[in-house]
Formats: sequence, C-alpha cells, structure tokens
Amino acid sequence: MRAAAFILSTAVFLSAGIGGAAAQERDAAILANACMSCHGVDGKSQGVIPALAGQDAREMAQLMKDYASGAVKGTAMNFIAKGYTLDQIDAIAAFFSARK
Amino acid sequence: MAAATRIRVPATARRGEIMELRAIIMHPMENGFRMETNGEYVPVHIIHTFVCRYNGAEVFRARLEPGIAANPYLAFTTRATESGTIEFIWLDDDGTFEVAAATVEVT
Amino acid sequence: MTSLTRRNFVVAAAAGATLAALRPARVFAQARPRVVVIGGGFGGASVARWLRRTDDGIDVTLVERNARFVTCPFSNLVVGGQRSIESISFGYDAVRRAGVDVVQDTATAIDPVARRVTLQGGRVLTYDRLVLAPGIQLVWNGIEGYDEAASDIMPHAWQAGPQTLLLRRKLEAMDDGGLVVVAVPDNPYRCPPGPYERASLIAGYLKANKPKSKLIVLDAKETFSKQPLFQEAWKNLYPGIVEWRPKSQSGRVVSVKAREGVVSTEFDDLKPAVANIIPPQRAGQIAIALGLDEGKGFCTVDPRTFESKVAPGIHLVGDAIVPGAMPKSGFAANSQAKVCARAIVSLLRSRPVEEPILLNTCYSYAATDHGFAIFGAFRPGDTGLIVDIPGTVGTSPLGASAQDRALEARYAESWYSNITADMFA
Repeated sequence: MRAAAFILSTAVFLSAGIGGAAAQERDAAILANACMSCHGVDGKSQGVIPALAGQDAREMAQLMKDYASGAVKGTAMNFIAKGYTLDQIDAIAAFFSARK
Repeated sequence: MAAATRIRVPATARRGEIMELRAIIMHPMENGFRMETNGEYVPVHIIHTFVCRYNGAEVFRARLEPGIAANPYLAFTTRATESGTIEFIWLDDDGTFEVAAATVEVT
Repeated sequence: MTSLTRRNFVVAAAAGATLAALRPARVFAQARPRVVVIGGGFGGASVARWLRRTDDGIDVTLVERNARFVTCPFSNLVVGGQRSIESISFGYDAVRRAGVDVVQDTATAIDPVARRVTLQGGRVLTYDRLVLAPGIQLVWNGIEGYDEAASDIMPHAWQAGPQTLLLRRKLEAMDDGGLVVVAVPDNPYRCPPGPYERASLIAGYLKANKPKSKLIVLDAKETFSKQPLFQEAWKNLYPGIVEWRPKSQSGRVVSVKAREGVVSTEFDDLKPAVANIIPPQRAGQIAIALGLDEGKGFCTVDPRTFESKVAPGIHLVGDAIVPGAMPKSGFAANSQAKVCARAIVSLLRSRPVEEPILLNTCYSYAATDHGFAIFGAFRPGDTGLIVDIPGTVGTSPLGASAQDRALEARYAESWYSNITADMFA
C-alpha cells in the first residue's frame, strides 16, 4: 500500500519537471533529515560513519537495499534499512546525492 | 520446596508504632496456562497462602492466585505491641511450606 | 498514510500562489510567523536549528537558562575519567549565527490563550507556535530521604554538569576496596541503558586504579536495555567487580539516609563508599505546571506534529513526552525535533503535515574501546502513539570480536560529533 502510493507520486514527480523535483526534494527531506543524526547535516559526516553527501545515488540505494535484505552485513543499517520502502530508499539516496 | 526468601522487620520499634514488614519468595508461580514445546501444559505450581504471625498470633494473611507473577513480594503493616518474634510462612500447593522469622525489640 | 505524499505534491505545485493567500488569520498582525522554543538541550536546540533550516522566513526564539549545555550522552565517560567535561559542553554561538534569537533566561509564565511567554528578566515573547523541550525533573523523595540536599552527598549525575563532576570527584577520593552503588529507578526514565554504561565505565576506572573495589547495581527492574550485551561485557572485562541485583533480589532502593551514608533496599541496608542514586523522574516543571502531563508525569503528543493533546499550539519533544516505542534518548529527541520543526512549518504555511519516519540509535560504551548499540526506526501508529517498524529494532550481536566492539566505539564517537554538530556547530 505504502509502496504503491509512493511509486505513483514518484511517477508524478518525473513528469512534473522542475516544480516536481522541488517537491520530491521536500518529500525526501522528512526522511533524510532523520539520517543526519548519524551521518551529519546534509550527509557531511565526521569520523568513521560514512558521509552520504554527493555519493552516487544508485550505489547508495543499492547498498541500502542490500542492508535491508541482509546481503551485506553491517551494524545499524541492517535494522534501519528495513524501515523504508524501495522508493523511499531511492528518494533518500537522490536527496543525499544532490548535496555537495 | 526450599525456595529462597527474604524478609525485612525493623530491629527496634516504639510501642504503638506502625511497622512496615516486607517479604519475598523466589517462586516460579506457574499459572497452568504456559505450554511446553511438546504441547503439554506446565502444571499449576504456586504459593497459595501467605501468613504472618507476631508472637504466635496471626496479623496478616494473603491468598495468592495463579495470576500473580513470579517471586511474589508483599509489604504490609502491623502495630508494634511487644518485643518478640515475627514469622512469615508461605504455603506451596505441592504441600510444602517455607518459614522465615526475625525478632523486633519494642521499647 | 501515503496519500499525504501525493497531497504534498499538489500543494507544493501551487506553493508560490498559496503562501500569501493561506497565511492563517491569527498571524495577520505580524509580518513573519514566530516560534518560541523553551529549553536548549537535544530537543529544543534541534527544533530551533531545524525550523531555521526548513524555513528562514520564520522568527525563532530559544529560551535557555544556561549559557552552555552539557550533554548527558558521553557524560558517563566523564564519570569514568575517560573524557573532560569541556569536551561535552557546548555554547549557543552557532545557534545564534543560524538566525535564532537565543535568550539566556527562564520562562516564568505562559499564557496559551494570548500566546505569550513571560521571562524572569521581564521580557514578554509572543508566539504563533510554542515548543517546550524541558527534559526531565528528578522526583525528590521519590526514594524516601533522597532530596536535593541528599544529592550533594549521593550524586544523581542524571542531569549532566556539576553533578557529573561531583560523582567523578567522589570516585577519585574513594579508597581502594570501597563499594560503589549505582541505584536505577523503574521505567520510564531518561536514557534506559545509561545506568549500565555508567556502571561499566566506573568499573573500568576501578579495575585500573582501585582493583580491590566493587560495584553493585541496585535495580528497581527485572530486566534492562541491552542486558545480554552489558552482562557479557561485565563477565569478560570486569569479572568480580560488577554485580547486578534486580528488584526480586532486593535490588530496589526504597530509602536513603545520605548523612549516615546508608542506602536501603527492600531487604538490605548498604553502606557504600560512593552512592550514585538515580531517582524516579517526570517531565520538566514547565510542562507539569501547565498540566500538559494530565497528572501522569509525562505528556502525550500527536506523533506527526508533536503538538500537545491538551494544549493546541504548544508542541513538546524529548524526554518530557510519552514516546511510545521510542526510548527517552538524546537521539530520539533530535529525531522528534526534526519532525516537529517540519510539522510546525507546514502548519504555519498551511501545508499538509508530512508522514515521518523517526530513528533512534543508542550507543553504549562498556569500555572506551568496547561499544555496542540498540537501533530502531519508528512511525506514528494507529493508536496515536509512536510505534516501531517491524524488523528495525535490534542490537549489536552477542559474542562479537574485540575489533567489532572497537569499531562500534568509533561509530559512537562519530555519531556524537555529528549529532552535536547538528545542534551546536
């Protein structure tokens, strides 16, 4: 249910051009802001927690999905990643990828 | 049964003072509704009665039911009347019982 | 819940046209919406920063009585002697630079109808939305005989600052062979794993410096957060030093006689050389005074906006709220604050409130090179409380290698740098 609606909204964004991108950014922000408690404001991390800012969106999203499935072993992310739909993961990855 | 018990009785008290008494017993308090992996229910096994006696006279009694959690803890009060022994008795439904006692000096 | 996502999009597309038209009538007299935040800890400082990061067209005033904030996270490292108090203290310069009006004062009166806050210094602040982040207050005499005067002799150190240093000094002054007790209250209290991290780090200090000493954790509960991980660490790192007594083994402290140095549980009287008494807690006084806790000690809020269920226009975040499945942690307060800030902006700008996912990760140190954590992702539940998302709640594994524990300790450090920068840099 959650996933389905998100796919629909993503499709709308894609066709909506610049206005849509701004809206998508804002939708992702409510999710991405929470990640920053560990990964730093705008994904700019100090220390061993990986920085997310400017990383490749597809690689980031794939890693999140692999953490969620257990294909990649980590610590926190094997649990946290399970909290998001695949589309939410893509949106969060796009958000951080756009931070420079 | 040989279950561990702990009690607390004030060492001294003034005549007429309200004393708080405390008692706990380490007991599983099996309620009879828990199922083993083989599908059999664990039989009921509880402390069904608790009694407190002050120089032989009963001052407190409680009836315990299967809904009461493991390691039942009771705190209650009685009036200090004279120096002597306070006994705590737990009656187990396997037919055994446990006793603990302490003395109080009343001035 | 997902329809919100689509609604957001619709409103966002028309945002330029609607912002002026939809401004609530209530704020007509002001050019810019005003938010007052009371309390400058993890919850309050985060709300203030994230309001400005989300919408710099909003005027934000942060009222905080202290010039510097000492974090409770990492304060156990100060107790254990592994870190300085300066390294966990933060000023508000960066918060000011972010455009927040930081007022060092205490709120003395709130008028929720006129939407006015009066400060001790005489200043009166008006607001469109008020955020209270008062944290906890200690319930004096919740343990018989444990009041503020007793805490000078038997520190609680559960609000970081002078109390943290007092406990440290008492440990330093103790002779080798002394007994240390850490008394832990029943739930709910701030930082569920905190007392056990503290016991671990004190044990580390004792092992290295006063090896004949012993530490007893006197617990009012039967189980605790990350229990298998702590007990594994105590067995491996501090054998014979740490003993944990649950409530059923006479662990619950019922009274203290601070002057005589006596700590009494239901069945035992102990005379420790150093007693750390963590008493029961409730929401900070300002929330209680306003009746926002409905007599329950902590305040119920809407999990999407963090608005009080009792007082419209007043939001609460952090340890003062009933957090549902989330723990009372600095991390949770920060995560709630981000959601609260965006919800306030949405409400002020007449946009739909978004559907959040909140996070928590609590790292604990069993030693400076031995860390582990509990993780969780959360969302608003159908009953109006925050619930955990299935599969997201878990801890670091038992039996991990020393290298893995050392890595988690470094993750903890990195987390601390990042979350404090989120608020104070």
